[in-house]
Amino acid sequence: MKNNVRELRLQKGWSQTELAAKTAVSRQSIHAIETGKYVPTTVLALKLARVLDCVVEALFTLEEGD
Amino acid sequence: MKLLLFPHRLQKPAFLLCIVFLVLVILSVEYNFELPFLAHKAPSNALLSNDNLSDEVFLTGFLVSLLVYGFSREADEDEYSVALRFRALLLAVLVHTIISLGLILFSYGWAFPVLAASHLFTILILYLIFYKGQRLMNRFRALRS
Repeated sequence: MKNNVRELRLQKGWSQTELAAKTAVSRQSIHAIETGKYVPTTVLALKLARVLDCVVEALFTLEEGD
Repeated sequence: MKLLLFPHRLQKPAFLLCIVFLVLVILSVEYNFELPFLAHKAPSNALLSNDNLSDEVFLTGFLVSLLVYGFSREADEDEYSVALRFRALLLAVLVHTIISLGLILFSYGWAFPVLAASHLFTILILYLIFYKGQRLMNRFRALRS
């Protein structure tokens, strides 16, 4: 699973802490998602998409083998 | 996924109690330390009995405080914490089972009940090591990035 959370977050000029506060999760969770260590649930993916003003598909894309 | 967890305010007291009861368990095992007010009259026909409840109280306290500490809500509890808990629990059960198999296969005589009794705590201790260790490492990595 490839994700563009970091890129979209930086486009907004937000830190990991700010994005974490807007989605009501910990900073560690955002870090784990950005580094691909954790794949969020549908609820969190939708929340991330909402605060980053994009669709979920712009944040997460399937890779070959997924 | 919501988990049934103890409230966050119990985490610190449970950690302190863990330390206190661990010290008391060690004193009880190594130096036969007993609290006089926990003395009781054991029935004379009882097969396995003693005349003081200190070790039972210390071990129960240690086990319960470990449980509350391990399963109390974090201040920033979220779905990633749940995933970490699940992963840690899975690893703890796996390692606990391997140790249990080792005990069954390689310990004989008096050593078996002694080691098996100590093994009562390993699943919670292993879970705590894996879970808290992972959280600490993640916090460190997040701070470095």
